[in-house]
Amino acid sequence: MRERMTRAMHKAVAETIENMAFLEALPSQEPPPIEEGEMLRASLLMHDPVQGEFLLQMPRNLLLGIAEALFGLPVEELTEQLADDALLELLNTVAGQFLNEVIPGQVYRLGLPEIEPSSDEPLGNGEIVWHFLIDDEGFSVAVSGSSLLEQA
Amino acid sequence: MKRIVVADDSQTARMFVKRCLQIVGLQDVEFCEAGNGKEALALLKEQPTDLLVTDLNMPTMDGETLLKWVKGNPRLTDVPVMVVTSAGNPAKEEQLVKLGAFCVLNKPVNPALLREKLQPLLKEISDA
Repeated sequence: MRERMTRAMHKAVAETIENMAFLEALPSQEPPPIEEGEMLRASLLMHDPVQGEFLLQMPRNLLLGIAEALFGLPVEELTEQLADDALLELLNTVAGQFLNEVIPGQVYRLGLPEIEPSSDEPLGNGEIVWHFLIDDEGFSVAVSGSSLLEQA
Repeated sequence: MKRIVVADDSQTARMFVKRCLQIVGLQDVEFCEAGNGKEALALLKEQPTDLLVTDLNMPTMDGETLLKWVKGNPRLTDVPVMVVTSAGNPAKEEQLVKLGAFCVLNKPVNPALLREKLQPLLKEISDA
């Protein structure tokens, strides 16, 4: 089960980052180093047919680099609102790609992605967590919820 | 000038769809952006529109409800509707096509897939 989910998440993240920002995201074994006050976090609930939650945690600098590629704007012109929006859309897209791999053919209902309070804690409290690197900067994606994890 | 309405609560997604549409040749087009289905419906009622691109999961009015409103309105029913969603799969696609969607694409969209799906409409929309 874990291997199937890992393959699905690696594919979802790689395709999303490559298609949207033309960058390469590679799986990593190590969680990214936490820089105080610099970690941004977004969450997304899955409501039906099973319940679960997706989390994406990314350092501000890496998000700004991705948003720069996404919007084609220099970093200094990116507002906080645009960067948050990019984080939410990345999570939304990764979650959809992941679910299409792990519960193929099922109609499902997701909530709206939300920005979470900034946290310097690494992900990994009751969730399955995957880490990734873009160039030398890391970020993490987590999935929680027993009914979702059982489906997979 | 031809007109395309792009409905998505994410500014990132709207910008990305718009950029992909421009890459496939729709440059001389007026793009109108809506943050939810209700705003999109208001834009559609304002002026004739050549294509509606909509997300499904939006606040206030979702994309599926918007699709039903468009296809149920005699003034709007001929507007082709392309759904771009992160929650797409064959079962959902079948459901949306039955409701009248022209095509359904999974996020992230890419220009090649967009070109393929839009082929029947491209000439008509790009001929201003």
